[in-house]
Amino acid sequence: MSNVTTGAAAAEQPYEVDECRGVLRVYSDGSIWRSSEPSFKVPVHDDGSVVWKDAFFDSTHDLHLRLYKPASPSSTKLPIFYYIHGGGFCIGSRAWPNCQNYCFKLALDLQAVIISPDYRLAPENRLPAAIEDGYMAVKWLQAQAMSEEPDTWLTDVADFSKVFISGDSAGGNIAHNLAVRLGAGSPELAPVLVRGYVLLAPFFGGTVKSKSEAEGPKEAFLNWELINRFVHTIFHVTITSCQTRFKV
Amino acid sequence: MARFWRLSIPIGDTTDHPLVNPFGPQSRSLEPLELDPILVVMGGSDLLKDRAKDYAERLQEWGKDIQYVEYEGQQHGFFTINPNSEPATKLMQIIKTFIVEKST
Repeated sequence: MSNVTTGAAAAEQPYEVDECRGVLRVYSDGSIWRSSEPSFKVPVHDDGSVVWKDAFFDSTHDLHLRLYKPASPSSTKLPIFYYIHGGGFCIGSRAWPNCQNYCFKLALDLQAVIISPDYRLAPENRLPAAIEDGYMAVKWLQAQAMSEEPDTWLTDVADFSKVFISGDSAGGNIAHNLAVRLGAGSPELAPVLVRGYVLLAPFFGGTVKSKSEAEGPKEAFLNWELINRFVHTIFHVTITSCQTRFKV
Repeated sequence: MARFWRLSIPIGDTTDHPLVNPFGPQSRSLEPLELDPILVVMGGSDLLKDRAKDYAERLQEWGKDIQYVEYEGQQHGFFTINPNSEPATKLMQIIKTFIVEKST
């Protein structure tokens, strides 16, 4: 009898079902493990030419955004440029070095205030959570623009009538869905005025495969593999690639 | 790619979910919508390329202000992985021009 119990207990032992970039593991019982470390440990190039800080935008879900601006701006008022990170809706953070480094570059090269929000990730929070959080992140800007006690770090330099919303991969999907929701002229955000959207390699899908999806390599995000190799070579950090394992 | 969708789409739904497929059977038609200008950027070797190109072409046919830029031979995420590469630098210039043009 005890043998039967042991056997059943062994069969119920949770096993890994999905694993992404060494930072997310999903088990058969639905439990989830996340690393506190980023997927790519590239160095952060923070040389002081861009200043930054974090702000809460959604205390219900404990979500922050990161604000960046040039330390010596070229003009008194700068456009605002959202950069929503990617990661297949499952991984990524405003605080990951690859995201930070790109935001530094965007702030300097575009001479803009960059806003890089976090959003809730799957599978803990499936869609539409990420889209709703993207919306809250732009509503936050409206609240800043209307605040009676403004954060001068932002309001002194930001032009709320020149706002652009970009997103990378899954972030590009969020940007598209914001474009649809807000519509031309973004009337519900007044006095904030969105002027345009930049979809960087937007992550869209569909049950009918496109030609490039059907004919390309199985790993869509090929460059992530290159990064993994780079990190492995330069920093001697072992990062396992995304693999799905099914145990029968 | 399938893995990310499997983990992020509501359980029981498919990649034709309206938030995933802008042209899915249940998706609201974008044709009658008034949209702000959109710049779509793609690496020519990105698996997601055809879907994004189709997106841009359809919106363009419907008279939306859409610009599509493709970087030959570039993979997914080329601009963050090598932000100082030639295509990433060209992209930055395109974004800068887009901001200036659409700000007036």
